Amino acid sequence: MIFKKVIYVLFIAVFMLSCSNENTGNPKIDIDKKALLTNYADNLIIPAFEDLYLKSNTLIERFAELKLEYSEQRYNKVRQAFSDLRNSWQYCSAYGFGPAEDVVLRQTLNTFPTDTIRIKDNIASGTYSLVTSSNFKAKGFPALDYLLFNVESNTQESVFTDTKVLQYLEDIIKDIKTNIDYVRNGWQSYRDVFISKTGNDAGSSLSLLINEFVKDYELAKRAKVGFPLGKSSSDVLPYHFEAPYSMNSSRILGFNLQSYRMIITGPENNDLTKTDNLYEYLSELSVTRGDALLADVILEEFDETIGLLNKMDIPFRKSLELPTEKEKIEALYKNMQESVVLLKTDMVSAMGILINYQDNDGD
Amino acid sequence: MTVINTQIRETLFKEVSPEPLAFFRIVFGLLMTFSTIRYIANGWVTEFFVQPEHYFKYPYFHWVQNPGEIGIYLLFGTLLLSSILITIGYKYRFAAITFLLSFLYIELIDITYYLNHYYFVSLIAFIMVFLPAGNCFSIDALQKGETESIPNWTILIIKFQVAVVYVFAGIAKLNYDWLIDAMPLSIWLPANSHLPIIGGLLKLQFTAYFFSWFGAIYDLFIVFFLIYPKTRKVAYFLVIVFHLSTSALFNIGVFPYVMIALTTIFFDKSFQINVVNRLKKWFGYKTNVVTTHSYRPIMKTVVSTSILIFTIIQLAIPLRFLLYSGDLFWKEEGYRFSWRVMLMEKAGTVFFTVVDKDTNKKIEIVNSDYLTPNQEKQMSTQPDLILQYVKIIEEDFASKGITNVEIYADSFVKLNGDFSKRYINDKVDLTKKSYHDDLDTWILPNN
Repeated sequence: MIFKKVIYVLFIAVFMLSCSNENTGNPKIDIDKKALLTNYADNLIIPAFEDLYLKSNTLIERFAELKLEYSEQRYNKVRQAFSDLRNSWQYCSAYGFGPAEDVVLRQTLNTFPTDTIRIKDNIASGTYSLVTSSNFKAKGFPALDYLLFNVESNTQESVFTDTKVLQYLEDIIKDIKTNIDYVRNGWQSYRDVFISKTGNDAGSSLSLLINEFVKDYELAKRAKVGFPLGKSSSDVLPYHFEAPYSMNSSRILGFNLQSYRMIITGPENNDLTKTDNLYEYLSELSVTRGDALLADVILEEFDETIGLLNKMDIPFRKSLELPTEKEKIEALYKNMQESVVLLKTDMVSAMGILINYQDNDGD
Repeated sequence: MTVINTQIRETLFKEVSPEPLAFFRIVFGLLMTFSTIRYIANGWVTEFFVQPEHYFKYPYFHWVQNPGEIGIYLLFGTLLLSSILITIGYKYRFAAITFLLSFLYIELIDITYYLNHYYFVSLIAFIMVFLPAGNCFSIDALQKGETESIPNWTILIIKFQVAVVYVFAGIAKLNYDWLIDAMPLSIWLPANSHLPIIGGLLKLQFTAYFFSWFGAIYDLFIVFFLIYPKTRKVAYFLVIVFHLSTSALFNIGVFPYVMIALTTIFFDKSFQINVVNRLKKWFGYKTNVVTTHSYRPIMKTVVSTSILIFTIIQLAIPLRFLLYSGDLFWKEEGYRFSWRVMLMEKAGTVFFTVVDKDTNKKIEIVNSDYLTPNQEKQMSTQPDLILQYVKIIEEDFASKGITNVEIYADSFVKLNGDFSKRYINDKVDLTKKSYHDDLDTWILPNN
């Protein structure tokens, strides 16, 4: 029968073709997605939230001591505990799915620039609900950055013995802790869900991980560098940086970039021979620019960005006033923009990740 | 000529049993009922037609406006109701027209959601308006009497439409990327390696080649095997296997089921007659038989001329890309409405900068301020949507009193296995470009 012959010929043709084409395309894609997800959950994400949780406990304790009795030493310990907590957050911000999505963790913890007028009003009135989204910009880390660091040293004692201020600080810190606790505890049961959804569709863990990673990176580029630089307003906005009062913005961006880099390399970030990470996965996809693998191009770009950042020793906020320093931030921004393309377009497309649930064109 | 003409006329107007068309009507009606409910249940009506602030228009259909939340739900309600009416064959002609108009209106609101299978449904719905599909095994027939026969062209035109989809989809696959590089299946199949049993196979390069070649040959020839009685059974078995496997592997919604259901039109009429008779018995359906209508000669000319015109248009639209120069996948001129399905993996990122010429200030646009993620994704790789978006930004600035602007794009597109490349010439002020300009004046070549 003609039909059988056609099928037969087809088989042979395809077989010969695929044999003769062994050096193009993807020779081996051996990644074990379940192992990758397990590795990321157990050695990257859960430890990051655990650290965040521990740091939030410390802040609670330090603040309780300060509230009990003011001393400059206690005040400095609160500031230190807060800085540690926010540094730790930089390693969590990209995991905005699962439990973090339930409480919109990024927005609730880190909406900036903070609204100083609203904070003052809240403190003065003493009546506010921190769970409403209109107060997102009057709480979280940016509010603490303002309240703890925008203080003249000669007024310190009077500010941090003012019961209204202390009450507001306590409420903010408790709110931070509540949300962190929720996500940290949520991961205990979400872990098994996370490692079981091994597909590439919109609800799969890989899709969630990648999408939130890309979204967070793009947001970091825009909010942590672009907005203050005046990219969307044409005037520089020094107080739009992430940590303008503590002048810590560039330092914490550094931690943030390290964390992004680790999403590619996996938890053992200095050993690229380790398996079950995105670096291995992307390498197997054998997408190349020139001779360089996509995985290496992405890492190189990250390293370049981190290098640029390391060369800046003046805080971001001050840099805006110095043309040569401002140029360095411009260069950093440009670099981060290039990474956005690599992540959002090259990486997502090469992995065949679906972003939304909408139907695609079918055959 | 006259001999051929007479023969064609005889084929077109030969009287045949009405059951296959009634069966087709019911299957189509059920499919549309189900997929409309699915669409609403998935929350897509709100997500796609209520939440967005802006909509991407179809060329020549800029006047189609989103009717608002109540309006859009009314449209979907109309669609659902008319699907049910088509299924049961009540006020069939009215239902078919209502279905077509509401379906088209919804489709034309936003080109973001263009899919070939929606286009296919539109065409079938259009054809259905002219078919006497409500005259057999229907509420209408219960009231007015059942027809004994229908003209053959009413079946042939559906077969033709299905054939157009497959054959053009097959021809579209005859390209270097698909056949020689097994792209984009080399990307999409390994992405499914988590599936049990077949997961391991999907990682293999061989599998991507096999699917590519099998898919191309399947699309090119399946219709002929369906027409030929001796191969029909095997062919239909392949239809089921093929579409079920694409359904399992890719996120393509109801389309596989539409094709599995509608290709039954190729079955020997005895199948549909048998099914319809059983259903009639089961429902206790009895009607008076009315004599078959007959065409006046002038009507035969009108019908056959219309069919000829429709056929030519159906063949011309998918081939219109030949009128454009350059890379079809890269520039997408003549890409839509051409049965190019699953042909490429294309993604892009684009950053727009508005330059206020009065102050020389530069403002970078945050795309998510204007567009939904779906819209941004589609816009990033399609030139006509990029220009529409530039207009949206321009109008938004104008509404804020900033009227003298230039807009530039920093954009990158990745196609199949390649690395991303710059897509739009970043020196070109896009506010000066229109739909009618040569794309080469602002889209960079793919090399």
